[in-house]
Order: sequence, then C-alpha cells, then structure tokens
Amino acid sequence: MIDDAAMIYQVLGEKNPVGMELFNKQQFIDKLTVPSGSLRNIEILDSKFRDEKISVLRFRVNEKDK
Amino acid sequence: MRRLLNISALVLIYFIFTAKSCDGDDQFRAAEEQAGVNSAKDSIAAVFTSDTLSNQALRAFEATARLKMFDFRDYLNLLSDTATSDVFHAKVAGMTGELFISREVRLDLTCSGAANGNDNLNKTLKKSGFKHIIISPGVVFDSVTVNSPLQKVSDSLYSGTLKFRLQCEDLNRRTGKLTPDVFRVIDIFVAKRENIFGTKSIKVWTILLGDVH
Repeated sequence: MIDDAAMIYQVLGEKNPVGMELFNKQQFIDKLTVPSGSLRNIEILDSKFRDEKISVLRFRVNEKDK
Repeated sequence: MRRLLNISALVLIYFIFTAKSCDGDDQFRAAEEQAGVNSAKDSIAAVFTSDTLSNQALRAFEATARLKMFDFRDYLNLLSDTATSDVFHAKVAGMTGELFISREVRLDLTCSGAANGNDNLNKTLKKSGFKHIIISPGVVFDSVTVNSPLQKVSDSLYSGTLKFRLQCEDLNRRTGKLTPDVFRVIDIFVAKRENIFGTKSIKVWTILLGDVH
C-alpha cells in the first residue's frame, strides 16, 4: 500500500502550508500504530501514487484538544 | 447464416483495427505518474535539505516541537500502562528516544511530594538507552509554549526552548490528586538527520527535544 521509497510529510497551516517533518515509510507506520493524541487529529491533504502504491503523502495534525 | 458470419467478422476486424493500444496508454500513464512523483519528491527534498531555514520554516518547527511534547506525554502514559506487553513498551521506548537529540539528555520530570520515579517506566526508558532520566509516576504536562524562538547556532544547528507546566501524582493527596504545578523549560533543536527512503539516504532538517531544566 505504501511504496518503500515513499516520502510522507507533515505540514503546518492551511493557506500556504509549510513543511514541518518528513517521514519515511517505517516512521509513518510507527506513528500510525502507536496510539498518541496527534493520531486522532491527522488529516490527509493529498497523495500521489505509483504502481498503485502511495509514493507521496501530505498530511497535517490539527491541534484540537491540546 | 454465412452472411451473418461475414458481418460479424467485419465488425470484429473493425474493432481490432480501430482499438487503441492498451500497452501504449498504460506506459504513457505510468511515465506521467512517475514524472509527477519524482517532481513532488524533488520539491519536498529541496525544502527539507536546504542550506538555511526561513523564519516561516523555523516557526513551523517550533509548532512541531510542541506536538512532539504531546507525543512524549502520550508515550509516557503508554509506558506507565502495566496491561501492555514488554515488546510494546520497548517499541514505545524506542520511539520516545527518536523524539530527542540523543539518549544522553537530562530529563528530570519530578515534583516535590511525588514518588521518586523508580518504577517500570523509568526502568524501560533506561533499558532503551536513556542515561539521565528520572520521571515521577502520573506525570502530566501541558500549556506548552515557545520560551525562546529557534535561532541559528551553526550551519547545521538551530536551537531554542519551550516552556511547559508540570504536575505529578500527589503521594500524600494533600491538595488533590496532583501536586501543585511548576513550570519547566526544555531545549529544542533543529538538526540535519540521516533518513532513508527506499535505497536513497538523505540528510533532512528534523526538530528534536533536548534537556529539561
């Protein structure tokens, strides 16, 4: 589902999003599988696929409940 | 009947000669997809590997540092949960280590009136490589704000601090379940860290937590 060479990046802001953190496949899977508050507020903004696998994914964490 | 067969054959021949080549279309689509992915990856790499960081990028890293503090708090809660397995604890302890610039950081998260922090949580973190760590049980922190903004230290390092409110589980329950709040400061750094994407390794700017004062 996720390409081994995928670049997954977290951004801040809505109008002109700025890059905050860059994850590789394993780091992103770890982030998704270990429950933390930020996980509840992840919003996927867009993605690019190659061979039906996610190659680029952009998301942000909405700072609700903090 | 023969006429019908002839018509069917003609229709079939028409479809064969007028059909678009699937292979050609698929190859074109794959090449287009590949070009889009490569271009997006180049732009991302350019942002995270640039020589210097803009003010806007530094403010974004400060926001990320705040989120990392909340992740740290959540990981401590998971490590305090005795119902989960040692394997899971080791995984979470490893991820806790990734939040920090090194496992040599000094983390004193204790409160007056709280237990001394000689429990499984501290043992698990020490086992994962943290050397100078002491955390009281039931530690809570919130109100995380930027204390001093990130500033350039060298070509490969920016540093700043965050301030946060700390409370611990009150052993004596004198004033309630939690000890009176105290404010602490934690160092934050932006440094270039090696990150692997498939077979490619690149050094990217990463925000990391440091010592607690």
